[in-house]
Amino acid sequence: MGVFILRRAFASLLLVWGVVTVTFFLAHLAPGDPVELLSDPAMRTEDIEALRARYGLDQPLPLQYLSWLRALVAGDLGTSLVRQRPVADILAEAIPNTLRLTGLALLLHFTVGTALAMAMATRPGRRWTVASDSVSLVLYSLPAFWLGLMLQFVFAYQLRWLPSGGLPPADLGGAAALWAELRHLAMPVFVLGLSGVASVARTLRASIVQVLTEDYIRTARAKGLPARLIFWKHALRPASATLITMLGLGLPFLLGGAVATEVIFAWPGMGRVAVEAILTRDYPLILATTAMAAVLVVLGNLLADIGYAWVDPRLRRAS
Amino acid sequence: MTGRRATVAAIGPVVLLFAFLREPSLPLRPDAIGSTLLALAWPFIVWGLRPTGVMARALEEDRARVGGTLVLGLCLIAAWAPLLAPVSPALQGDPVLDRYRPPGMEHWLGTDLLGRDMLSRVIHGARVSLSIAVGSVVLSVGLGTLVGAVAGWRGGRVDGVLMRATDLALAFPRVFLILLLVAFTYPSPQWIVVVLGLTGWMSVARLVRGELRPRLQEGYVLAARSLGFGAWRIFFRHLLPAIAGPLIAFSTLRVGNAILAESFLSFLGLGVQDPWVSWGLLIRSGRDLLTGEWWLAFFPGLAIVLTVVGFNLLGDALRAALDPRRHHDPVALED
Amino acid sequence: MANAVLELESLSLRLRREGRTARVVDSVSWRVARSGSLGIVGESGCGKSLQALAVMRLLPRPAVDFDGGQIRVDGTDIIGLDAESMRRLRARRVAMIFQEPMTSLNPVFSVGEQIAELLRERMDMGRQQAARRSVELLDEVGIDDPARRARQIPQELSGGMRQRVMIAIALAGEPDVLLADEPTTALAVTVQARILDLLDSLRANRGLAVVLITHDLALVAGRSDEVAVMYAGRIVERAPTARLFDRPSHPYTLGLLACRPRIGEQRRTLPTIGGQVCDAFERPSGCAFHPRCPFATERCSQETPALADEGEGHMVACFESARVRETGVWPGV
Repeated sequence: MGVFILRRAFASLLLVWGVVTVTFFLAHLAPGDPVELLSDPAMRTEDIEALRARYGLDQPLPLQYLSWLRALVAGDLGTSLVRQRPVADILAEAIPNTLRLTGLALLLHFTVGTALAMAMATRPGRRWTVASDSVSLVLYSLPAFWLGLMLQFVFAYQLRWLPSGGLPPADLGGAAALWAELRHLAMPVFVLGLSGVASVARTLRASIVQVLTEDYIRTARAKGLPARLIFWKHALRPASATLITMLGLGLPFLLGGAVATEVIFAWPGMGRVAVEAILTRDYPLILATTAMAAVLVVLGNLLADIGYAWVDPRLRRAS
Repeated sequence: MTGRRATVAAIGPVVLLFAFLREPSLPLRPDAIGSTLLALAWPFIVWGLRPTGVMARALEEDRARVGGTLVLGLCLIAAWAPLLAPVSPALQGDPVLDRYRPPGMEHWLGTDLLGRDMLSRVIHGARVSLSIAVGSVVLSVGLGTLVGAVAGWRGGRVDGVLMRATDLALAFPRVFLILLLVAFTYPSPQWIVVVLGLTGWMSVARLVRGELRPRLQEGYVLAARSLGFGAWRIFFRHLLPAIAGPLIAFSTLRVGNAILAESFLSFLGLGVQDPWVSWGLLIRSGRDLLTGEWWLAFFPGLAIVLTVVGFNLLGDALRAALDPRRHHDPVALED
Repeated sequence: MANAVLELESLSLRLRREGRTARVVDSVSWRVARSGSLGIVGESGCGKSLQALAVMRLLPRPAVDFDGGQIRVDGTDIIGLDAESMRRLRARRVAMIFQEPMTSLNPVFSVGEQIAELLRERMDMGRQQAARRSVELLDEVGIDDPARRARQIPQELSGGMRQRVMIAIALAGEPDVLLADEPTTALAVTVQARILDLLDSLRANRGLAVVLITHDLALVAGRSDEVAVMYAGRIVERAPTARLFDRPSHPYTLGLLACRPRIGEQRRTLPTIGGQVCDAFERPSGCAFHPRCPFATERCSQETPALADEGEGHMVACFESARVRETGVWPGV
């Protein structure tokens, strides 16, 4: 098992390096650069060029790449060209904000989603199940950004029960802070949670139902085992592989899944930062956010693979 | 022809008639000619097309019926947009009188800032949104099938390289990749199709390869190879039909995703731009006006929901019906 | 038979498909005594497996369901039992092993655990006791090095060993009856004999009644006390084994006997029973076998023969049974 993890870890590292390299070249090859966007039409060409040189943008691309790589390995994420602040600081501010949303949303996904999946899987054909099925399909089909807009309209503008967006004010204390937090988080987390719950419920349920038709479940029944034992032990174990996949996907979701929601609700998180960085060709920021996202994707896959091997001994012994 | 099919077949001529009655010159306008021809040909198409075998069985399910109806309805609306839309989507109204009119008798879905009829804009938006979505799925499925087939068939080194490349492409957070690529050039609908297609082929490749590999050891493949048939022929004649089922189901579900992706892009201003109309773009125009003019954002979004629900229902039903490993009866653990 | 441990009386099962209903098992009756063995022989699709599933109440409902008759375990009807009582009956009174041992065992648990689980849940054993007993059971079914094997997952065992594990699981509950549904069909011929030998020895050592369901008439020769031949959901002939082989009285039985290749026999072609087994929804009128039967008469297409007692426990459902006995050999090619 140890060798297995090591090999996969090494492959993951290579993968991240690959992603980051490709992103570097893609970002730099896109037309326009931050200097253009930042500069004043009144500036003279020499000044623009001088600005470029200051940021090292006049160097040949491979050289820029190498110097950036060197800095990265040393732990220096660079300075945002547009915001004139260290990238690390920007990320340090944005990440916790995103985590507030996505962490809560993920929790919802996996608790409510799993409960729903199990409930539906054990009650096939009942009207309630069919209804939940249809409802979850619709939820799963909603555009998140539009749902956010509609909720804003109803709850923030018409009913005025909830704030339309933004972070809760930082200067409150105690119960007031908690209340503000809840009010500000309510809609974004709801939007984020909804389609995720639907998606988890449907996928997991399909997996459980599939397992229930297997022959070894019939054997378990022939053994006269009680239904709850059959369900929890025999049926869920293989179905948990699906759950693990989804958990693996949950990791990248933590940072990147809230883009639409952050934009709609003016939430200063990673998603918003990344979108703005791309729009303004802010290379260091683009690279840092993409690198982080890629690391999470790859880490998520790695953990999922380890999870599979733990759940299904066949995989362990096969490799 | 059964009653139901006759009704469906009659839709084409009815729409044409309706358009003609509204404005006799409409069907012959240059931008409407295509739709007119389609409407005329429609009864023959319905008469000739008969889903058989597995497809027919798949479509018997309720889910498939509802989903299929939604999808077909939306595709027809998109195809006959010039005939169906009350006015041109670009037609601006009186700057004072027609601005921001709420839904009413004259404008069923209201009007926007320039007095343009929202119903017409939503109908024409269907054209753009659907064609981009379908186009991108066709592209990604085509590309993915190619990669997956080559990787699965060749095996060994080639397979290794292709799968590493796929893993690499998958390691990118999709949203970021799309945004990066879109930033490359002016986002025409064609470029958006390409971008969405280029970012979506990976799962298809995995699917195709996964379906292909176990089948390569099957008797009929080995037999064909021993008879000297070439790889392409074996693939198209024997293997592709076998994996077509899961592939079609997958593609249908993907169209739903593609619509959501395109609408989000357009909403951010990075997708379809004026003068083209897409649902996402329409929502964008309504974004800042939620306090008052809610209908600008609501109806396009509703259209998106209906479309995606339709494709998801259909895709679900197809997947259930076409999966060769499907078990039929739900199992209860207690008697 | 006064002490029948398991008895079916006129059991019928119906199959519902696409809105249509048909009897897939029609008024089947048989019984088996303690330590006895019954062989049920028939082609696929004739309903033989479904009977066993019916006894265990593991029918694929709602598609297949009871349609009349009784199932009695030690004299008590079990069809009317509530779900919990039925569950308690499984594995302790009646146990079942299935055709495909690979898919019938949970792939992620060790085989020892799959036996121990039953012992803990149904036999109230503690963990350690259950673990010890599973190793004992593995030994009893003839698995070498049982302590090591107990820790392995099904994938690591051969087909024959997996089936032995299934038998061990079945024995763990100390049942009175074992229903074996095509236990050897998926196994190599040499392994088949050994598994069947194992079942014979279990009968002798434990007083276990065995119901062997198979499509291969040869398997029951010399192993079962009584054989029931099924066709299209009905029992067409039932007799003590020796008598059946000695004086087959149903055309289908003749056909089955004739179709087996025999070592030392000089033939150029193997005899076959022409035609195909019919689907439950497409049963012919009268006797279901008549379209394929070389002895069929006008009457056979109009009336359905009932099981008639020909003496000495020999039951046949055929109008032409006398002629069949006289001919003694399958006239088809």
